[in-house]
Amino acid sequence: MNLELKNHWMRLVARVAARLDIPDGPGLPMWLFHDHRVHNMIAALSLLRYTEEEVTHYTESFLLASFLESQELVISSVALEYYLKTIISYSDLPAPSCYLSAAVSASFNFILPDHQLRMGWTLFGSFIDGFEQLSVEWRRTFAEGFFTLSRQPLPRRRDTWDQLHPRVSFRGFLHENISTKWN
Amino acid sequence: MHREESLWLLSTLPELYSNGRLSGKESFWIEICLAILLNDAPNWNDADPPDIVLLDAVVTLAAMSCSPDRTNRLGIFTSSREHPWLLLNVRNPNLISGWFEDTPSYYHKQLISLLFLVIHALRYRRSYPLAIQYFNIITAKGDLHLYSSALTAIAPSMRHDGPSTIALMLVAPQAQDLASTIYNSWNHGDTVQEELLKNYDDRLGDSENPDPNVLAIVLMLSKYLSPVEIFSVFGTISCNPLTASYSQSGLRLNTNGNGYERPWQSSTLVMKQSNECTGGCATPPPTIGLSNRARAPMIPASYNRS
Repeated sequence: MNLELKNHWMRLVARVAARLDIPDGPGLPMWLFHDHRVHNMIAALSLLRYTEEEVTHYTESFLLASFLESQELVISSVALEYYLKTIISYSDLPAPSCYLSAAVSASFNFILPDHQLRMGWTLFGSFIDGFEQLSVEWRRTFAEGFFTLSRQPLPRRRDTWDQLHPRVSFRGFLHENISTKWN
Repeated sequence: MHREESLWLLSTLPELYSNGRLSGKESFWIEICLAILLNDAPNWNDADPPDIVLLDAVVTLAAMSCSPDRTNRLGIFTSSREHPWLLLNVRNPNLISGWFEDTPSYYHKQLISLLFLVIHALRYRRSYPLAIQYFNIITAKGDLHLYSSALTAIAPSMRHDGPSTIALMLVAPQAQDLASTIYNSWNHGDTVQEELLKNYDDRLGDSENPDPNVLAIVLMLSKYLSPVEIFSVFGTISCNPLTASYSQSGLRLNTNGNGYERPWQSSTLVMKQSNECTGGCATPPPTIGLSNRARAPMIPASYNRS
């Protein structure tokens, strides 16, 4: 079959629906769809490929960066984790997203419940893993978000760590927000 | 609520309403009708189609509530009670033509949601001409945003073939015969997304912002497809075979090397059948014969059953 689409939003949706990657490129918008619900659906379906471990080659830093501004913590935190991994895998680092600091700040916000704060440690692990590769600008932006609101001792690691990994929460998010509403 | 209880309620309310013992704004009655159909809709299927008596009762109550004239209300009530077996109200789509003039505009979304459920029910009953008459009256003003918004409001309570069929009708080209759209909706199966995307893209052109509700429906429909089915629907993207390669599963397309395929830059996104992918496909995609998966048999004998 041939599917030729003229509209750039339709092309984006077609790729997301087809579970195809959306690699970086100059034509890629740094923002997503104006409708909050569609934005979240695009993010959820795109990030699902990551949480299901289908993505082995990270090429979508622009797309992941656009999810950082999501109001859904589970989306922004999962996007942040893979955004960091993607950036670390690049030899030529782009400038950090303008939403990076806010997303880090949200992930470590001390008003979050313990189990969500623990998700932040996974992000922190990715940051530490790639610390040497990151530029000063990246480290500074991350630190700005990390220290702004993280003034409360972070929870101690427990045996349930694996169950509280972002991808578990993300599946839960998808299930609660999408699956149960469409049958 | 059981169907019998719904029927009892729907038969009692018009009676109380017609003799003035109950009053209320249009939205109150429409909400009752919506709640009853939304409660029943998840159970509709080929083996257990919607109860036509229930549909008639819903249309009767909704029509009465939307009619400002008491004589009209009594007429609607009488046609339902004097010859209930004739189903005069549900079989008369012209009854709804005045609804949108007689009710404030902020009720219209609710009304359209209700009527989309009626269309969905008529489709299950294979009453295609009647469903199309309803559809044409509802969509006479051509306000796609209103219609798609009304559709997504009820979509969670419908089986996924409901929103997909109505969405296909909404974005169908002017020249397309709606009868064939609704008739073929049983055969669309996995290709519904492709048709939705193509038809809506043709409507939009290259620069217009799409309606978020239509996009939401397309994205949600993709949730029902497994990776294998997705492959059978979309084929693969082979705009740039030099940079395209299949992952180990053979189902997902990755890019590698220097040249990215950029969907926003390319003038067209071409999705082709796997046998057209040459050169860049490290692993040939599997041959997947799913195109006939959802080809439900049509039963012409039951056509226009109601």
